[in-house]
Amino acid sequence: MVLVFIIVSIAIILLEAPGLVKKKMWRELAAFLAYLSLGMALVIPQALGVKLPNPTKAIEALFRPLAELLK
Amino acid sequence: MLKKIAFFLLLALLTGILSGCWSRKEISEIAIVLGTGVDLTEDGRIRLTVQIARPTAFVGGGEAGAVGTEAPASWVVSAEGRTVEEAERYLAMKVPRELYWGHNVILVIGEEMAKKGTRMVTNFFQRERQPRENAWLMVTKGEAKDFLETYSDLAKTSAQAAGFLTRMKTCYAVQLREFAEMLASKGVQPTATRVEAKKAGITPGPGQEKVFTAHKQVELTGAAVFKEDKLIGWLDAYQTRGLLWLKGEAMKGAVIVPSPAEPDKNVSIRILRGSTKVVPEYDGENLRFNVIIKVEGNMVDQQSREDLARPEKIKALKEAVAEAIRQRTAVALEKAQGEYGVDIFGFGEAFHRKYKKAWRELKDRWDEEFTRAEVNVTVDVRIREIGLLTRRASTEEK
Amino acid sequence: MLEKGKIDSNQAVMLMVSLVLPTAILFVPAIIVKHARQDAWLAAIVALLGGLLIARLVVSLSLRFPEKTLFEYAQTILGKVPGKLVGLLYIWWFLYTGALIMDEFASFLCTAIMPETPPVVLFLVGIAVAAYAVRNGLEVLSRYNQLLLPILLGLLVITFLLVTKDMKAERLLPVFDQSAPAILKGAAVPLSWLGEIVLFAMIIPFLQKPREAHRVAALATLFTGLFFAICTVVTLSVFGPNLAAHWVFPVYNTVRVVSIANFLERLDIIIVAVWVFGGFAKMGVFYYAAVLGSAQWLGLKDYRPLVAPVGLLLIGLALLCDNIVDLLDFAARAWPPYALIVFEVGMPLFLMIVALVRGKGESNA
Repeated sequence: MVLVFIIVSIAIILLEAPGLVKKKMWRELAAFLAYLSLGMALVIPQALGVKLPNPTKAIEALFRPLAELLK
Repeated sequence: MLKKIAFFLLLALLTGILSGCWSRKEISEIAIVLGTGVDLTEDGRIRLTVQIARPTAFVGGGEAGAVGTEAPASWVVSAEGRTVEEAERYLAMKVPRELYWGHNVILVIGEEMAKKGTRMVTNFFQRERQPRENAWLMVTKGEAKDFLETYSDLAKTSAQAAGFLTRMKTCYAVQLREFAEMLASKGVQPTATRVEAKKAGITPGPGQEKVFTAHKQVELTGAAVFKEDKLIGWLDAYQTRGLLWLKGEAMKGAVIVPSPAEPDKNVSIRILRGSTKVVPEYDGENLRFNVIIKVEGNMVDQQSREDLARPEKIKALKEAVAEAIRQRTAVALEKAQGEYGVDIFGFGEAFHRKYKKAWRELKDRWDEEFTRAEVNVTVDVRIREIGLLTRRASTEEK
Repeated sequence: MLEKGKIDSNQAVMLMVSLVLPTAILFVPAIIVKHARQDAWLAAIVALLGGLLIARLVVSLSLRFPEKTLFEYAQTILGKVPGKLVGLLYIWWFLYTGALIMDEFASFLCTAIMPETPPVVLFLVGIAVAAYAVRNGLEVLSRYNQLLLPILLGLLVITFLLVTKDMKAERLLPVFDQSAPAILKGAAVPLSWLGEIVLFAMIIPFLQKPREAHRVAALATLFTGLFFAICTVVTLSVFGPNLAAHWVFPVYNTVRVVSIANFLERLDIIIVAVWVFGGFAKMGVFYYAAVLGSAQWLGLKDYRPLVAPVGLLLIGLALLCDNIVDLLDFAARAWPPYALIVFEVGMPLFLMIVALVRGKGESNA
């Protein structure tokens, strides 16, 4: 699974990055890399079996009083 | 160049993903379950019995094929477990194919299992994705295993025979989803088809009387009455008619009434269609149900010699039919209110529809209220046709 | 302008229907029946009225800035930093909702037809297709939707007609059995779905005739709300209020019930198709909004480089969901206040008030 995600990421870089470099769209490249690393940071640990905190729980905690009404 | 490499990488990945269906099941690798039976064993475990179609018997032209040379069409096998799923897994160790529930026609529950509680059984068949909520639910006297082990002379398998009998609504029929709906409602107690395996008919042939003796076949014999999910009693075929009338289910069958002028001879009226309306009346204390049954039928049989093709006779017949139907409902009501003390007719739901507020107070002790309720049955009969004859063949003048 | 394509009003209506409907008929009918029982259809109508108000609010707000999307005018109204903050919230909302939608569909597929397929495979394949559509822009997404939505809804309507045999009107009675609070509770969930029309604020600048936006939003909401109400009524009249609330995917079970003459039956796969294609459209719109919003938020000249990374991010977020019980519980309880208060009503209302006070934008909308 990890391998699949790494291959996917490499493929994405190979597809998008060269064009951006050629057109000198540095800002876009930076954003691209930032989003990609964010995505990798979420995907790779999970593929390795690390449990990450679930944002659903945070939202639930935040809206608990109101959510109780909808029981 | 880089793009090409990237494309190649993605393509390689796609071949892995798209090369075939992940959860594929070849038809030659599945065992098609036609009927399922669940029994309670003596040590309190669940025994799951399945009737599996033998594919070779289904090859070739439909119902054709000489009797005697035909291979058996089904294979019946059972396994035990604490839950239905556990039993199913043990079954998987005996059946050399993967069990497929999608074509399961009937779910038969053995008497002991039904007494213990049907929820232990039905939950699996609702939760699992393969069994369908349209399967017919029935309760058998005795063991479901014995019931499934019979075979049918006209249908390929006994499960299909039972499925056909229920689908034709020859008697009270209920689908798994309808049963579950009754189970989840406070306004009605569940009822299910009652089935038995009984000897019926023979398959004659020259010199074959010894070979083909009458064997047990499936038969619908009435209804099973539940309180919550537990079996508490039975209705026979006659009482089940009353149940059908009061529930307003699709009605087939005949009403037999005495001939107006010759009460010792009978006249048969075959029912075409009917409808039932339940109107509750409640003043805070007294509970009354006015049941208005409308029925339409044709005369099909006459034993007496009087001429019935006359308006006044038809009028008398109508009254007799109404009385006969009232009697049937009275018998079913007597059973439900007196002997079993449960509302199997769904009067509670009718009450809920009319008296929303009162229902909130009564719903938790509905069965008690129901047993105290007064039920008035009004029958409105219409006899439309009298068949091809006006009167019976007779030498008499009149 | 980041998006060069333009879509006409019909496409926009259909896109907005796809924005809400596919998941609304997945498990919302069960939730609404649980609260409002026989009066579920009433709750659906209440939700529809609320949805129309939300649509009105969002379009009024957007039309004050006809050339701008939510991300751009938030900054115009509130100033740079607070505006950016609002933008960040919405990026989160689009992303995470997109991931949840994917989760919902994966749960459905795994439950109903492909139990052995790991969800991540469904995510990968799904995202790959959606990414392709999003990368090609709004026009492609709209046309895909324009092509399929009528077929899908038509199929659904046909199956509903086929199931009429098993319906009983008595199951819908008595009317007004539940108290008003229960009906309102029931309405909250579908309302939070209909409120997703907020996303229309990302699309309005790309309409050929932005002045028709009010009509588009109202039509889409009306259609979605009514269709949802019909689904609820059909489910209720087939299973009754007790059983309908027990199913996880009630509409799926309703379709399974269809059996005409022991011959026309097992139509489940129709609804699977409806949900797979509809799910793509719905997820695609959120995906598109997340990508476009991010690009505008970061001030990029092109949004396309972000498509693939955001896809990966969506998969990552979707993987966070542990099980369907969490998902159901979230959808039934935490999601309505979370979506309604913050994103669907609260924020647009706040922006509107500030815009009015500060006199920003055109007032002739």
